[in-house]
Amino acid sequence: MTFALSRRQVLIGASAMAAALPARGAWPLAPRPALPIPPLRNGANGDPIDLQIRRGAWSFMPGVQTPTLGVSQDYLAPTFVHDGGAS
Amino acid sequence: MHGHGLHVPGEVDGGPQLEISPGGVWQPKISIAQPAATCWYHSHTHGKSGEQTYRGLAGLILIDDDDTDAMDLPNRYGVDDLPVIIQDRTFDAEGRLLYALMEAEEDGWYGDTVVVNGAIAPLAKVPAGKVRLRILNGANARFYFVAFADGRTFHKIASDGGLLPSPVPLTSMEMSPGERCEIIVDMSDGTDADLLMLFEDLIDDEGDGTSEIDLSRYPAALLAASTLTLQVDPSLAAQRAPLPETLTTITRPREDEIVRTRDFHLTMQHSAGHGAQAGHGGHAMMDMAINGASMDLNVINERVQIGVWERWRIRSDQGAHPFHAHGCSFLIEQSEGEAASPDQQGWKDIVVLDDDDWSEIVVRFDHKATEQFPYMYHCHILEHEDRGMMGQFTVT
Repeated sequence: MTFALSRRQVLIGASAMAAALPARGAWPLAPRPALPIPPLRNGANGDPIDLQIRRGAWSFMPGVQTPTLGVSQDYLAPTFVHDGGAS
Repeated sequence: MHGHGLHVPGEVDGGPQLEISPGGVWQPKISIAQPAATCWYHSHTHGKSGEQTYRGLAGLILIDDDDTDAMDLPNRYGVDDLPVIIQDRTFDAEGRLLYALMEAEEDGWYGDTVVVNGAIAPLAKVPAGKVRLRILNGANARFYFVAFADGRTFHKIASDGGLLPSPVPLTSMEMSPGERCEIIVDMSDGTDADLLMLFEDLIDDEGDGTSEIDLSRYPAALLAASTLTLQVDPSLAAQRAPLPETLTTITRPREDEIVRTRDFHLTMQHSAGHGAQAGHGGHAMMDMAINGASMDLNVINERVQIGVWERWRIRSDQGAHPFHAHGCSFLIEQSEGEAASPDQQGWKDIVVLDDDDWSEIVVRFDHKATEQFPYMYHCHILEHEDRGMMGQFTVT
């Protein structure tokens, strides 16, 4: 499988890359984790939003607790949504 | 805590002058009035942005507006509108995060494991229709090569600062640290899609940007663990409307509207002069610079006039760097000496530059940043930023 590569834009050949991936049985992690979705906080209505930067513990790997930092959660931060942009 | 990509005044920009001390409280009132975009927020603590962001202090800010509300774009958060925060992390034998600013290689701190929203090789259930991924390269230092394993075409609809003029079909893209891309992938054929997030430095190891690369040479275990699988769940309601042909209109300034040009030289080897010594309250060694000066909280490096267009030319003495400016979105005129590709012709707040040629942007600042609360421009490789490759500017 080959690609023609430029720094900012990469062109993939027509051939698919699937062959480059190991068979599903070879996944190093089983079962695979669900994609975490950070909780939403709506910031458009003007009400204050309280956030706390704090220490946490997050499981990147099954059965392993990793010390982390987070914003009102153990790792990463809530997603702000602001439906009031001006185009 | 900096709102990256927000068009807000310096006093609520969350730059290093606005450090939140342990036990302290920061209560900014932030008024957001800018086009729809995927922005983010992360630690910007002087000399510690890299470590704090690495340990987890980062999140997304999604701005919608009337135009995007009226478009047939997937917008059900967590269903067909997914946040995808790409990072890389290294763990020690006990599972603790390894990080040491001054032990980073010159390209910055590279983790050996890809994590997506904090998960390794995760899986997301999606409807059998159009799915929007709001991808943030939230890594400290790595550039990523992003593509689907089956080579399928996707459409990029937005860059850092909002919608592109029209959807741009791609089969892969590169993303620099701090960069955001919104893409639409069509899952209506019902088959799973594996999104690969690969280390650009392992692919483009020649660094000349033209080499043919062979994915079968990419470490197989790393490839499998660098995958986000989108798995179709037919029970989820699908959005199958065709993509809009036109997304937005971008008006570039006329040449006679550009009032001045500024040049920025990013230097990896800055040994002399102010800031070269360890200092700034025990923060890290300041040994990198822009225009001969390492970041100094007491120095305003540039003074910019509000509301007028400028051309900024940026290059480095060594290697590729993602250059970011606070308080604005800008337009790329050229990147590393080449005209911006269609997927880079939208609003941006990061431009990649190198040592071969100039990258050029046109930029206008519409909010104030005072001497007390200035904006920053800096390399978004966070270890470079923390080692001084950053400057302060006012807008008045």
